[in-house]
Amino acid sequence: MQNESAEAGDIPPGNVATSILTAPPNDSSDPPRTRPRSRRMTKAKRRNLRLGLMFISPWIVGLVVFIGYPVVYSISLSFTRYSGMGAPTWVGAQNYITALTDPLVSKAASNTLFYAMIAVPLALVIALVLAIAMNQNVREVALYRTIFYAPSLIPAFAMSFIFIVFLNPQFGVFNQIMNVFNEGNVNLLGDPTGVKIAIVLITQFGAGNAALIFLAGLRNVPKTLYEAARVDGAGPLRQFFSITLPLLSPVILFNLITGVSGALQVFTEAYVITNGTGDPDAGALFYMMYLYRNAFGFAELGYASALAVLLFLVGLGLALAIFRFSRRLVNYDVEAS
Amino acid sequence: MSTPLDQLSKDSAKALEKAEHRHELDRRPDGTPRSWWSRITARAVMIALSLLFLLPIYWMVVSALKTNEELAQFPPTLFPRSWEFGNFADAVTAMPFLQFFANSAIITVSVVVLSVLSNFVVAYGFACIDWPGRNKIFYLVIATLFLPFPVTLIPMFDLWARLGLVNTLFPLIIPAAFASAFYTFLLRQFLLQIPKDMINAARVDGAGEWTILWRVVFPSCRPALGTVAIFAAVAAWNDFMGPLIYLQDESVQTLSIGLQSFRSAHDQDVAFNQLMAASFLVILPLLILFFVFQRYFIRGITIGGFK
Amino acid sequence: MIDRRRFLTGAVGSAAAGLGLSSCARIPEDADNVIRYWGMDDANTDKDEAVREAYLQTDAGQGVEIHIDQVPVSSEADMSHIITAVRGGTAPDLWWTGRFTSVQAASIGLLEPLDPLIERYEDVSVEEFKKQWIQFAVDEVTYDGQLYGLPTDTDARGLMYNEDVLRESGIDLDMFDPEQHVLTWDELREAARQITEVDGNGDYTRFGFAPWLHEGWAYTWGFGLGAQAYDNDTATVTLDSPEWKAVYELYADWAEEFEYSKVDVFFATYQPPNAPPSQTAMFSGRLGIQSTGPWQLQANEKYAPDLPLKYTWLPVVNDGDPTYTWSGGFALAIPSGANITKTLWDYMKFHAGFEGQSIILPPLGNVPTNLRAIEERKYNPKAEIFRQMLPDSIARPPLPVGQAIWDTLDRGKESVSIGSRTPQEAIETNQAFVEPKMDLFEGYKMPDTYGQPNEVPES
Repeated sequence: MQNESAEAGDIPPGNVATSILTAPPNDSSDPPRTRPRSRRMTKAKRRNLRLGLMFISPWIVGLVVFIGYPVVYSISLSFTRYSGMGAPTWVGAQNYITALTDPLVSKAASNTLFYAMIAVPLALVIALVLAIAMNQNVREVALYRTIFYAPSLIPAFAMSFIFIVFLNPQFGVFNQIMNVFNEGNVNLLGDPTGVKIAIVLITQFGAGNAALIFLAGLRNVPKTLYEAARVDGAGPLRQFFSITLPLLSPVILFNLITGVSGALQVFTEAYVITNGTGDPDAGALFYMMYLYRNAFGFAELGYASALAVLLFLVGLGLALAIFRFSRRLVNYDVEAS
Repeated sequence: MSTPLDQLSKDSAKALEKAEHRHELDRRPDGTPRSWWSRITARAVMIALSLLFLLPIYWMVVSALKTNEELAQFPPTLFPRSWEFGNFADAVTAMPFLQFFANSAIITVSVVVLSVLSNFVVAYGFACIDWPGRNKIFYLVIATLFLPFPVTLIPMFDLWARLGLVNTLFPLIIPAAFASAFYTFLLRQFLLQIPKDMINAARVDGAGEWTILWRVVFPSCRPALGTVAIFAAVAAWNDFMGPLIYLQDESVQTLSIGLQSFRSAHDQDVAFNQLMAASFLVILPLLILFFVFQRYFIRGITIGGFK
Repeated sequence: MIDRRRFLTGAVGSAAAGLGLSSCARIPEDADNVIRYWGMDDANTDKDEAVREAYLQTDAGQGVEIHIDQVPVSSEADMSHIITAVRGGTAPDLWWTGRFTSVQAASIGLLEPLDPLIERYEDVSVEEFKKQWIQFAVDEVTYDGQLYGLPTDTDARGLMYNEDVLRESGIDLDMFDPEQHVLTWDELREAARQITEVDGNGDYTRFGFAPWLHEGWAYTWGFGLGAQAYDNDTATVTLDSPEWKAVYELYADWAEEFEYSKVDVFFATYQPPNAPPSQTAMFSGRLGIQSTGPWQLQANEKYAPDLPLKYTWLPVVNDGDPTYTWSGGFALAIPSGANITKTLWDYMKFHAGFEGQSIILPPLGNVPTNLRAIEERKYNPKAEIFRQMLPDSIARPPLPVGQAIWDTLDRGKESVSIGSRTPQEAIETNQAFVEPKMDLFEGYKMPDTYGQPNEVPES
């Protein structure tokens, strides 16, 4: 097999997001299955295989040690009762049964879903708006890019400190705005739903990372398409909806998937704001907080492992579901449109 | 002295330079010039957005500079009446700030160097060497992007405990030496852009893969490496959960966790201006880093998308 | 622009240096004269240091090295640090820990039992040795008949009130005088009503009292209403008893009159998180009455020395009912795997015994657990009323699932006060949450003395 044909089977270069999603699942450099496969590799191929494996060996070691081992370990711990000291005791599926009936698991799960359902779509819109702003052809665009990205540099815990003040009924900016519409004061952080909304707001300031990935996607759209659209008489709005958005769809999907994965694991903001309690009324008790509490507050590492495995399965399931539903909506082919 | 290899690396850098998109100022995506009105609106929107996104940092700085009495004032003042630069000194002395800073810096610098090196080498293996099955293996890299962090939390802790490395900085540093899915992916996309002819020409000249990696490929992918460096630096500097679990003694604590414990230790007694001052000092190195490397950073992430 | 190669070289250099440094930062092997101690916290490190200095002056302290580390607690009763340290082999030799969670820590093997040390190094029996400390504090660190810690400080809960505010509201101050009267809940409610003022928007501008605030934990009122978390005779969890329901009905009842969210706004407004510690609702004269303990004295003296802040008993249901309260506090414990030596034991006894408590407690505000220290009044004189509460005070039940009980009781308090759950739902949830966890300790018995009156010297 020649090098050229291998090239053709590569996942095409493109921006980060596009290529995850553009790579067709069965495409590879292997010859078609109908052709009997030669047992012997050419000398050059063997050499390349050896070299390639050598170069990716750090990743292979990392995969085995930092991913393979923990996943297997987590799954086996999840069938035990284990305090972190002494030896684990086998309890079968007991932890999973407990998890499914534990009212706090459902509470934490519904809190987390509530958060994800608001935060993820909102973050997509904000990141897209930022990316468009970052892509404007104005002289000082570098400044805007820096400013929009800057809040993403603030660690979640410091951001949470800032927002504790922002949201304060008397001194906070938020209440100054609310007072225009409302007579009484509200303490967002003192309300079980409000505290979730507050955490949604805080995390939105970190939209810069997703925006940079959108920006990469925006700059990937061929200019000729816009020029053609202009010739056809399409205005800027029309261009956005019929060119920009469809061509960005793989990037949107990428940011959606990573956004969901991040939202399911929301932890730091809630941990800092509630000092680890998840109060008021367990309104900010997110799944990861409860997992952490079980692991390190109650020393129930087996149960916490079961919770972790469940989260992994749910996350994977959601990712697959999103892939499935998005299949018709996502446009991978730049040239065809 | 100019060897053919040097020439090659210069060529690759030039090719890259050419690839860089020169936007024409004040034009729409479709190339038409913007009207005066549209230019003003666009700027107005962006300035408004900028103000919104500057708000947290502004608030942080202003709070850090106020006296506690002024902080408690209603309505809040937009600028400190007296500039209490002493708050910064107080914040630094109220906790072992320098110790925390040094630990954060050690972790961050080590993680950045190890991440850049390991991901670069691995990405080279995936992008520039053509070996059978590499794409199938690459799907595995992508799959690990979706693995949630908690699954590895407890076993990894156990592993480090068994190695006797809990309460040292190693658990936070060593994993960076073994490449991570996201950065490998990012770099691979970038390396695939490099003209194959250039690499093949070097091979014909008898250069080994290691030499090609450093002499041909490295010069042209500095921006992408810069991108990885900044992403890795931000992640390591701001890491919260890792230090929370692995570091106990004050002598090994980092800024992120030190600040949180400063707050909970002084729950009855918290001086908010000092907290803000300390927080600002925490993000300051990142801000500076971003300003300095911003140009490379944006280009690094964007250039992967150029056709 | 920084030259890239120089930057990389520098970075690699610093990384190498970093790796070297971090390995140096590892704790050196324990020598027998070295004690590594995880102390109280950053804010009280001066007290730890004072005890150390005093010990180094003694004969036994010659040649001893004591390293104090203030390990940050990320939140109350978060055991991650000690679990990870013990697992990782980096645990200290001595640990200042909450007594409340020490039974749980002992049950999972985090702590070393002290009985063997007492038998080896002391002339008296274990029973005799333990009599140096107040009974409930010893009970709290007893698991399975063995002692796992030496008690240090303790406290008690009472009501603190601002005489000025009460007088302005036309309240008879004699009712609040601990010498003359113990308030009933009805009297307290009436007083709270009189104090509370509302502005045009319906926001509180001055507030009386609410039972879910400050030290108003479910345990606090539970001890007054006869609620028990665990029945020692039948070895069962009793969190769904009518007494616990009465506790939650109390919250619900008050929340009907003083709405939770309004009260929350009041505190967020007049005691904002960024305010200096001198600006609490109590100190600014906005709050009339709150539940608190002796630790509050430290802040009172520092930030409001001129305010007429007084203490009285917790409210009872009917006039003439006995007074009640509960006490918490800390202990010194030895984490598993520590280097156990006579030096360590001697220092531990010193720090948690009469000498150490005499140094720590007067500035801390809390009350000693060491009977001789109580007798010799080694505490802030203003804490006298809390000392008087000790004979009838109860500790939270020393159970290996104590933290889980605390968590769920507290969540119930929040829910019922907010109105998202009924008292009945709250107690059912609590019982369902704790029962399976306690099932692992079938037939568990708390010390027989738990809940009995304590012998406390009158002075």
